[in-house]
Amino acid sequence: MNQVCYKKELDELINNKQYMISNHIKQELLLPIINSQLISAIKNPSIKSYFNKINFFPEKNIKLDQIPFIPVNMFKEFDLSTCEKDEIIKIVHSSSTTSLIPSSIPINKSTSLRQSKALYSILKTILGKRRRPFVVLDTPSVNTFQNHLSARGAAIRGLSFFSKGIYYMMKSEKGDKLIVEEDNLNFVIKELHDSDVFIFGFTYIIWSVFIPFILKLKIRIQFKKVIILHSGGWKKLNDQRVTKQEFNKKLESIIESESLEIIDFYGMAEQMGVIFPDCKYLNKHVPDFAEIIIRDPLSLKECSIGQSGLIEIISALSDSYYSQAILTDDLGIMLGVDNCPCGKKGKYFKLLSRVEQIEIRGCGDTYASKEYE
Amino acid sequence: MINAYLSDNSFSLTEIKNLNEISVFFHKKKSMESIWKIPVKAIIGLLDNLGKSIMKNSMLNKHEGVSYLCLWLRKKNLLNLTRLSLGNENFLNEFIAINNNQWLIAQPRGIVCHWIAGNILTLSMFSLVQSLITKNINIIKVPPESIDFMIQIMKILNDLEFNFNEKIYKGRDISIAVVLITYSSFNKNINVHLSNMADTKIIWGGGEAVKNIVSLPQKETCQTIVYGPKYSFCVFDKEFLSLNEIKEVFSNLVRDVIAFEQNGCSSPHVLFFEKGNISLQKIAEILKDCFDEISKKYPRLFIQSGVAYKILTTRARYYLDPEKNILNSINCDWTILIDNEIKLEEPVGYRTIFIKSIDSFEQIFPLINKRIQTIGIGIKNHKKRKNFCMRASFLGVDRFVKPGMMNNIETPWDGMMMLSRLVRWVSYKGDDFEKE
Repeated sequence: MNQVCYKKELDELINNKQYMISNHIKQELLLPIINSQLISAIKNPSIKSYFNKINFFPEKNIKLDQIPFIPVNMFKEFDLSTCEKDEIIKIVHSSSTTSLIPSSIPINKSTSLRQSKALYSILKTILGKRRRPFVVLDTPSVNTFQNHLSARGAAIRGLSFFSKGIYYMMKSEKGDKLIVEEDNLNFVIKELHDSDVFIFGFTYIIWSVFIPFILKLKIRIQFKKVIILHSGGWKKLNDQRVTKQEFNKKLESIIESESLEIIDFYGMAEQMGVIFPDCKYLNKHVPDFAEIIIRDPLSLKECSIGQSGLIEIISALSDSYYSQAILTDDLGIMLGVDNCPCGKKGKYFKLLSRVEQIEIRGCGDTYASKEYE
Repeated sequence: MINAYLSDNSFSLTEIKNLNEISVFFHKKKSMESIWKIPVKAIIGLLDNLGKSIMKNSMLNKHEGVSYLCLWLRKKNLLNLTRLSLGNENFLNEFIAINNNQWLIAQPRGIVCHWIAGNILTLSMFSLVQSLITKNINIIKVPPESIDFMIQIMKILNDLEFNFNEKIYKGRDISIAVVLITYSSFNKNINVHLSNMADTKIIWGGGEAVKNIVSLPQKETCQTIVYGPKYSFCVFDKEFLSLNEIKEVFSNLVRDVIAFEQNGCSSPHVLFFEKGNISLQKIAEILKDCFDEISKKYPRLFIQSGVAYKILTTRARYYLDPEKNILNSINCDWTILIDNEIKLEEPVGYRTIFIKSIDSFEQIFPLINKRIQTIGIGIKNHKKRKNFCMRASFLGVDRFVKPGMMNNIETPWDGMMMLSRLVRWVSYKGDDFEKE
C-alpha cells in the first residue's frame, strides 16, 4: 500500500480555507510532503532513471523549483505511476487536442479522494457550501462510471458535490457529435428560471455547440442567479481568434439573470484537483496544496514578476502518479506574490496561450525515413 | 499588392499591383541584353568586389553565414565552379570550338524566378549569383527575414565598378537584371503569375512549399530546379576516433551543428560511431566539452517557447527511458541524446544531436535513400572511406565532407551543377566561324 508521509499536514493544506497563507510559509509546508512523495516515486523505473541521470536525490534539502519536472505529454508515452498496479482504481484521459493521443493518468483511491477534496476546497471559495441545481452543458455519457474517465467527466464529477440535482443539456449523436437535448433544455427553461444555479461546460463545447443553438432559437435562458464555470478547449478558440471577452459577451447574450458570473478556470487532466479559477481581477491563484513555477524558456529558471514563460504545476495531491512537477505546454505570465487586490495569498498569474507550434522550414524540413514516392 | 525592390529606385520599396510591371522594367532597361553583353569574367570580377565590400560592412558581416558567402564570392571560387559546371567560362561569352566542325555557346535561359526558403539568410545570394554568372535576369521571392539583408547587398552592388580589359563595368549593369519581391506565400495568383513568367524556376524549400510551386502552371519550355527537403548525418569509424586530434574534429563538427539553428538540409542530426576502444559515453563527454566551449563563444540569446518545449520533451524521453542516456546544458542551449537504436531520428534542431554506436557501416546503408544530402565523414582508412562513399552515393547521398564543412554551400549541390541547368546549350555545326 502506498502511504503518503505527512498525511495530516497534507490533509490540513487541502481542507483549510484556501489562499490564506503567504507563499513562503506555504513553501515550507509543502516541501517535506513533496519530498516524501519524490522518495516514494523512485520505485517507478522511469522516474528512477530520470533522477539517477541528473544526480537528483530527494533526501537532500531542495527547493520547489529544483524538483525535476516532466513535460505533460510524457503521460502519453510513459507509465508514470508511482503506486502498485492493483491500487489503481481508474485511469483519467486527457482531451488530446494537440497530438490525438490522450494522456493516461493512473489514479488510486487515496489520490482520488484527495483530488475530490482539493477540488471541493477550491470551488467552495466560489460556490460556497450551499447546494444548488447544476446545469451541465455536456452529455451524461462523459460521467458514466468506468475505469476510464475523461477530463470533462472528472470535472463534472468534482462539481457535483455542490449540486442539488444535475441537468445535462446535451446528448451524443452519430458517434461523438454533441447536440443540445431540447427536452432537457425546455425543462430547465421552465423549471429553473427562478433558481440560483451553477453551470459547467467545456469552453469549446459551449462556444461551438450550445451558444449557436440558443442564438438560433433567438431566446435568452433565465435564471435568478447563475455562476457559469468553464474550462478547456482554448486552443481551438484561439485558433478561431475568439477572445475571452467575446466568449463572455456571447454567453451574456443568451443568459438573463440578476446576477451572472462567468468564471474561466485553468486545469488539466494530469493535475486533477488543482484548478485555477479567475479571481475578480481575472488573475489565477494557486491553491495551498500546489505551486506554480513559470520558467523562462531559455534559462529554465523561474521567471521574475512580469516575465512570461512555460507554466509548471507542482502538486502534492497524488501518490499514484508523478504529479509533483509537471511542465505544461502553456505559457503564462507571473504577476505577483501575496498581493493580488482580491486579497488571496500566494502566487498569481495569467494564462497567455499554448506554446507556438514549431514548424521546420526550408530544406531542413524532412524526416529522413520517408522518401518521395 | 507586391513589394518590389528595383535597381532603378536604389532598391527602395516600390509597391506594384502586377508582376507585368517587372516585365516592363526589364524591357525598358534592356536588362537581358545589358547583362548578356558583359564578359563573364567582368561579372565575376564585380561579384568578387561585392564579396570584399560585404566583408568590410559591419552591418552585414555580423550575420551568420556571411563570412562563408564572402569566401564563396571570391573570383577564384566563382571561376572554379563555372569551369566545373560548364567546362569553360567562355562558353558564356561566345561560340567555342569543341572539335573541328562543332561549336557550342551557353546562352542564358531568360527569366529565372527564385523561391527562397527562410532557413538560411544568405540563401538568396547563392541562388542569384549563379544565375547572374549565366547572364539570366532574375525575380527573387525573398523571405521576409532576409529582405533587408538582400536590399543592403544590392545597394552595394549598384555602386561597384570593375575594370576588365581596360573597360569599366558597373555593378548597376548587372543589378538591373535583379528584382527582389516579397508577397504572402498564400497568394496563389501571384505565385501562378510568377511561375508563368519563368524560363527557369529555382525552388528552395521544404516539402510542402516545393510541392506547391512545382505544381503551378508554367511555360512548356520552363526548366525547374528543386532544392527540396534533405537530411544529413555523420559517420565515424573506430580508427578515426583513436586520433589525437579527435577533440578538434568534434569542435568543427559542433560548428556544423550550431549553424543556421540546425535547420539546413546539410545540418547533421545523428552521429554514428563504430564501436571501438572509446565508449559512446566518453564520446558524448568530449562533445559536451565542445558544446560548452562554443556556447561560451556563441551563447544562445533567445529561444521560442515552442522550440524550448520540443527540446524539453525530447530530453524527457531520454531521461525517463532507462535504456537511453543524455547530456545537456543546464539551460536550453544544447542537448546530446545517446542510444543504440540504429535509425535516423526526426530532427529536433537547435543544437540537438543524437549519437549512436554501430557494429559496422553495413548497418548504415539500409538507412540511406535519395533524401540524404550530406554525410560528414570521419573514416581513417582511405580504401574504407572510398568504399563507403561509393556505396552510399549509389544509394542516394549527394555529398561527403569532413566535419566542419557540412554547411558550406558548394557545387555540385543536391546532386546538381546549378550553372549547367541555368543555360541553354546551343551548338553550331558547319563551316568554321573564323574562316571566310
